[in-house]
Amino acid sequence: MTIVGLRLFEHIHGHLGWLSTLALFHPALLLRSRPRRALLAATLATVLVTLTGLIGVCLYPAYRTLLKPGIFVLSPAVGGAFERKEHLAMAVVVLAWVGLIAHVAQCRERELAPRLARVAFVAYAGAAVLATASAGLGLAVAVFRSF
Amino acid sequence: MLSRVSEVSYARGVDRVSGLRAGALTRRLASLSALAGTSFLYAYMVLHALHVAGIDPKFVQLLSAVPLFATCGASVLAGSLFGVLCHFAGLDHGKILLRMPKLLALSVVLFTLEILFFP
Repeated sequence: MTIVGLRLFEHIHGHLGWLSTLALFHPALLLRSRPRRALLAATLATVLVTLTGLIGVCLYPAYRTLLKPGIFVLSPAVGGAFERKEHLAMAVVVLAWVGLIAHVAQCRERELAPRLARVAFVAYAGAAVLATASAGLGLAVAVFRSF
Repeated sequence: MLSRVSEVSYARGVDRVSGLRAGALTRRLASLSALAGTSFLYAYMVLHALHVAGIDPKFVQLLSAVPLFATCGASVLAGSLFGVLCHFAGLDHGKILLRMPKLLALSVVLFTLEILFFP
């Protein structure tokens, strides 16, 4: 991929990252107190965060070869921040899927719906908090240096 | 008239049984996916700690040349394997779902602490 393409996808990844962070807070807020149906919000948030993660996975090899060495030379702290962001993002995607599956089960189940809603809430709340940290760290690194 | 009533009650019974089966299946799926997700986090923590210590297991290195992808792939495998094992272990999914929110929250906190202090 050319530098222009990388830059374009980096911007898309960054904007989608913040959008999916906000989207993850929506099911977390809806499910915080009692079992409710929030299938559309949960599905959209999970799909959005997965798409953002996939773009990040595609960009990571180019980041490793083109940007990472320079960033670590100039500022190891910023390089470390980017590494942290990547690890947190992996957990965000997994937690979002755990939340979605628990929420789908909650919508189909009457007896254990409160327990399933609680699992979905914890998963989405955890994903939202980690996504905020990940997006913040990513923004800090992008301000420092980008493609 | 009687046969009509029995047909309706039979159809309702079938609906109820299929509904219960579908509910049990989704409940089990949710419980197993939550267990798999939690074990993904723990596996990731262990593999990341090993990577930081400079001891990458051979099977992890074989998955990908990029350590991040290798760790993630191995953790997904470990989580899925744990989920499959739990499926065959005949666990009480109601009890698991009762404890899962606290377990999941604890896992997220531990994962975050490890990543923040040992990137």
